[in-house]
Amino acid sequence: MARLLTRNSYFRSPITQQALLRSFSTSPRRLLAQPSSSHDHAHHHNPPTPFKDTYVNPYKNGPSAIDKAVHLFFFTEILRGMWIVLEQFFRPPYTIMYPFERGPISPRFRGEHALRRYPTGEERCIACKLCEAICPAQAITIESEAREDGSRRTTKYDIDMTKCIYCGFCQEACPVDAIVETQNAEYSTETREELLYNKEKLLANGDRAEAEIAANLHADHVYR
Amino acid sequence: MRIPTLSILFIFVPILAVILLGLNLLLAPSRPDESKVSPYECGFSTIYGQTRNIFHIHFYIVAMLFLVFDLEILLLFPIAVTLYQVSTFGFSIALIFFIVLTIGFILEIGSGAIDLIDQKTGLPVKSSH
Amino acid sequence: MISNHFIATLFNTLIGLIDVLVILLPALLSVAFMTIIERKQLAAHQRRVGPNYVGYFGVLQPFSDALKLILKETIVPSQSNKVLFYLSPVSTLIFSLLGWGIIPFGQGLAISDFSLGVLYTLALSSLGVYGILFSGWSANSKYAFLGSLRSTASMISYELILSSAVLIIILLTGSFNFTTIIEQQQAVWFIVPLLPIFIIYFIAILAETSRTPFDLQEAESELVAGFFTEHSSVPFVFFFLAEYSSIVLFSCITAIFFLGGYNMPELFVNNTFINLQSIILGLKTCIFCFMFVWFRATLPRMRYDALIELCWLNLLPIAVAFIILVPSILVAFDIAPY
Repeated sequence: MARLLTRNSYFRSPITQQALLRSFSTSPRRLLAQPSSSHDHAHHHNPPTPFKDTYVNPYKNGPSAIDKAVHLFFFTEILRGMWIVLEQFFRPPYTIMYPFERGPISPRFRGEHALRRYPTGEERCIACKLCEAICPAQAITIESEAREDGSRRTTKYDIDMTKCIYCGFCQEACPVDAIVETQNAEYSTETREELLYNKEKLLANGDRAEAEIAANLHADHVYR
Repeated sequence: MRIPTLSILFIFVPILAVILLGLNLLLAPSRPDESKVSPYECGFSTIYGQTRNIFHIHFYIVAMLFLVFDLEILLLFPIAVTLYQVSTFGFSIALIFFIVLTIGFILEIGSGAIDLIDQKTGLPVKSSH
Repeated sequence: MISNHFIATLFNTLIGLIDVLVILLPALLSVAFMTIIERKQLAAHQRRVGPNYVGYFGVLQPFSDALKLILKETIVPSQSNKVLFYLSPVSTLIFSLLGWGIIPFGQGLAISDFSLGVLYTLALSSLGVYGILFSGWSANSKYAFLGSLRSTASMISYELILSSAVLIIILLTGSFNFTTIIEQQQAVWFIVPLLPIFIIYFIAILAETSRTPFDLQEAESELVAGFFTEHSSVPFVFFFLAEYSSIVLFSCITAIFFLGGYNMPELFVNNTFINLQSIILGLKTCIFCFMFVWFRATLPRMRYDALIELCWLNLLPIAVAFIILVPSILVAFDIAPY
């Protein structure tokens, strides 16, 4: 009998299957009402036909007609949705008032570039050109020559911010942590030329934001 | 003699609308460009003669049916205001009129005049009526 | 010389003009503020803040919007009917604003206490459909045309429902006059006996003003902007104003039909000359304006054929049933109003 159920299980919903099992379990009551000739299988009544004797009305345990009529004419689920929306009306908004309040920014945020210096004041960049080589957009242009005191320094370090894709590879590649990306993303200009940064601009960025850059690097250095 | 206030409203509101149009004419630039005055079709260029093309008969049928039923409801307005005077007799006359039109309504629903989209396939109904 | 009679007529006309301005200017202001109310209320329902920059909490936003739109260029499409192109938004606005002519703000205090006020309102809503039809036709664009056809079909279908619901209200009051309808609600507001009719009436109102869930014309993903795709600055302002004016007007009319209008019986006796009853009417109108925006915040949009099917196959039979039921009850128990 279980096999009969499983054969038809593709055509029945779980509810009716459960109901079937329940009704199936009550069918022995009908067997008891028959004259008890259980010793003789040949005179056994016909085995319960799968549909006729195990059929259960699928509407019997559902909502009543009054329930359905009320749900139809007074759109209960729509009213429930509207109540939820009304609750939201009285709750505080999530909006951040942008120029006056800002959202939280991670220390790893990649914004405007800056060139750092050592605490003594010496610039860090040693013109190794690793950042120029790794830049996917070829936004960095470097020319270098020996300084008067013999150390290796750049004479030209240009980042074209309109080519830059802010991927952060340059700050990953730099062996001395000279070029970094700060958290500043609000440096829009009104002419395109102002966005082609040269060495002075980058150094000035670095001097202005050194404390913040150092703090961000310290917060993130375990992951680098 | 007094000009009724409603007529003053009827004169004032169009004047207001025309004033607003006039303000736009005065204050706004008017530099029609060839691409600005072409109709908007999400990037396609229009085919001449296809902008007012044929439309589905469903809209016409809806308008016709609206006409009939709206007039029916309008004709029931007098009995709505005089129900006390005409009571049962007048009401039964109105009811006969209404039932005749309701039989027409049932016929119209049954013949599928309102269907636009075949529920099974999602395509417009190939109307044969 | 100028006769006495002429001066009297002129003076009376001036008084009439002041009457009109006293009702129409606050109505226009309420329409303007309805736009910002909708934006702020939708934002509140969606846990965000609406426009809050222009005035205190953004209340001057509609004026800056109107100013911007007036200063923009009106682009008339090349092969459109120029006359119809300008005439249709103008006519939509006119018919929408004319509806304010008969709303009473006190006993008999309307621009015109018309004895056929209800018929006037229904006629104006029917005439407003013309503007939509012509605007879609005159803009020489397939999409605007289709959008206007769909909007027209939906609006006229739901006008039937509106007329039926209004017919039942008139059955209970026995008069077309708005003041009489309000006075008849002294005993009980009509929303109490006629709650199902209020429901179908509200659905009809939502469809008449083309609000969600029946706002296919404004569904940007469907037909860009429906029938006003090609209308640019001031024509667009007219459609915009006409829509919000219909919203406020129909809220007001709903308050009059179902919530007892300007009456708040036995709550106070107004011994002053200040018209407190108009404030009552205003508050009730606000309830329905809130409900309009609340429905917009909750419900998704209905597909066009589902909309037509809802009207003709579901709501109209219910309306027919009520049209047969209510006068039967009135005649059977002999309680028809006189």
